[in-house]
Amino acid sequence: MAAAAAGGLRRAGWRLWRGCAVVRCQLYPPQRALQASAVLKRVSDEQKEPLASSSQQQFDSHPTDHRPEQEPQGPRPSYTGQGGQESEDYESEEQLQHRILTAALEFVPEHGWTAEAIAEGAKTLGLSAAAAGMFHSDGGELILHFVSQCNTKLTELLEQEQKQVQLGEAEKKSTDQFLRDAVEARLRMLIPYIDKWPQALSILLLPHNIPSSLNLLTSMIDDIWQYAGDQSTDFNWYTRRAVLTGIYNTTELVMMQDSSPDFEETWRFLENRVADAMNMGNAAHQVQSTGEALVQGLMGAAVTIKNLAGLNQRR
Amino acid sequence: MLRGGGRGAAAVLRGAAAGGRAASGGQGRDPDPGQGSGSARPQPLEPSLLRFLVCPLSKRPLRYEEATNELINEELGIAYPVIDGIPNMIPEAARTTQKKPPAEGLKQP
Amino acid sequence: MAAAGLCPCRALLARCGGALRVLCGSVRGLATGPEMHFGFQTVTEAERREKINQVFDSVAKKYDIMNDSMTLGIHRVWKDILMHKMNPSPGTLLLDVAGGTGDIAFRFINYVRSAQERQLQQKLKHHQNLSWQEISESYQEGKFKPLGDSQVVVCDINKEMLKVGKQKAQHLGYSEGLSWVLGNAEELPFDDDKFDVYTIAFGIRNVTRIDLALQEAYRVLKPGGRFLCLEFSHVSSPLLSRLYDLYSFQVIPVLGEVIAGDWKSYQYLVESIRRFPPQEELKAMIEDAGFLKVDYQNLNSGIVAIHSGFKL
Repeated sequence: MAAAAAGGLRRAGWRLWRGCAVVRCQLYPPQRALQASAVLKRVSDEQKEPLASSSQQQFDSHPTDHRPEQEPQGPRPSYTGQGGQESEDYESEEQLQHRILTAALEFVPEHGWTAEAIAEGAKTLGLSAAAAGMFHSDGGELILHFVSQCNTKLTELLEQEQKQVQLGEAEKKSTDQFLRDAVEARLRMLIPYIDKWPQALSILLLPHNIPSSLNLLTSMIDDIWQYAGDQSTDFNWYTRRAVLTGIYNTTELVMMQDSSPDFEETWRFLENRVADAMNMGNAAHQVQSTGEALVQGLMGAAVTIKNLAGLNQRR
Repeated sequence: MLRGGGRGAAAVLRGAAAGGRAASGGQGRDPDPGQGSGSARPQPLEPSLLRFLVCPLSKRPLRYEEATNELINEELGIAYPVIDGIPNMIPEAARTTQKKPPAEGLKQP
Repeated sequence: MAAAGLCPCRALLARCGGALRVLCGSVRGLATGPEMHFGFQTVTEAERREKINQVFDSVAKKYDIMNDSMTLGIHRVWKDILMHKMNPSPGTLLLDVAGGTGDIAFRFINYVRSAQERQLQQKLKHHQNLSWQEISESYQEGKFKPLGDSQVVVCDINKEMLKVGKQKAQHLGYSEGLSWVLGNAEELPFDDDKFDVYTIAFGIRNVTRIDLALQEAYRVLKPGGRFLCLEFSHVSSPLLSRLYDLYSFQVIPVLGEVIAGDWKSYQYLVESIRRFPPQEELKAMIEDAGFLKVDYQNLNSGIVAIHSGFKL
């Protein structure tokens, strides 16, 4: 009862404060971010308590049986309470969305990159399937999340390798070897989802997804080049990007149609492409025209993928 | 017998309220079939609803009484009628199930 | 009728209404005093409930016909868009509040039925080596559970509207997975954390205490559940706004008189639309109730808006 009254007072207070329209807009975002996520207060009593914005609540008892994985990898922003103590379960909407998408990945082989997979993922976290409504119905966000995860993993891998080289534990690879290994490592991450990957690529080609997917692709390519640390070739920066992007995309396409054991043919194709690229560097004037040809190849690849996957656009 | 009388009284009250509404509504409508004749053909409540329904006032679970076709909240002593298979969960429509024991009344000086 | 004489005053009122609304918005928030609006009249809370009850008692039978003629059938499209946005999967539990005549409920059942069929087909395609036995079993299962455990509960405060809805359901052949409850949106007779989706289509402006209804919505939704509200809202472009005003105040009550024999009720309906808070304000109210990721989508430049929020 007292809690309800306090809740009522707080809401009345909210509305009073809202009457002063000016301050409203500025204060809204941080206020929302500080609100506790009700998902984490799964004990039904706690749900009736008001969402405290001025005083952080300590969630001492919280059922953890619903959550299969505890903390996400990487640094998590911590919201400290008045006592300076961290509440581990405090998370923002974005973090919750990431958790749902990560959980949804295991349902992709069965349902594809769709809202159904996201709904199943939400269910494993103890949420209603309706939570999938937070995401776009074409499943694009799931794919982008996956791609972003893969890129992060690749970066970590390259970082580790670099450390090993610096510590003298491993030898520095030649450029072509480095590129081959990096691209192979990255493409191997697709293997569990290879059946549904053509569908994913076609969704990424939808107009509203292109900016994000292109962004992720170029930043991954740039990362690889950065770790390659190559000073010797004559490529300029844009050409490097175009060349490696072309190699990556064409290899990806080949991989999708490859049925050889452990994708041997794909890696062989990759080896040849990288070798070609290295040889190209010798003739500087050839590079530019090759760059253009690569771009055209990219466009052609895109059309091929669209046809391959029979662009799923029921909605 | 008491229950029957109580139900009749409640039905009459409801009828009066409905009649009042009909007068001000100004439109010809079918008379409320819940009055009196409700007992003749009671439509049972769908069992699937029982897992959702609680008392709107106290949010506590209800007990479905098949005999009178009502949903009873024991704690508060009120009963919600089920008319034509539709449970009427408006608090104003509920009737109390409290019965005053006659012995107490006699003891009062 | 007196209403005819009031029309020019109403035009004036409509213009002042904008300024008034802002005032009333903050006043309403400060203290939910006994004074409330019923269309453009000011009444007490109890009177308002009673008056609205009368309105719907009298319009119930002709509700669908009036909807079609008032909105030129476009209300069907709006409701379809709402269903599309909801995109319910089989197994979803829907609570449709103020859904008396069942429009949303029937659409939900259709949607889930076809989704279930599609899923069944996908499953069969996915598993290549099924025996005849297994295939026939899964088709049988499809027949037993055409909705796949989905259920919709229609809750309305007005008995007449529910009666009309139930009759329609019988007439159209909807029986499974559909339940009817007479209840008040401000005091829902449902347990906590029960429903996947809560919808209120063209009903929230008739609720006396919108904040209570929103709180109840939050309470009965499961974690991760979705709140969807389809309601008339405020038109952004001034030209469209003028045309809309003209249509609303001159044409609709006349239609009401001709088709339903009830000018006043439709006058109320139109006025209640004008008095309802605009998109951003409703969004703030929904956020107040605790919903996250609250957003709205304008349909037909703001004549109607769909607000969506999640219980996270």
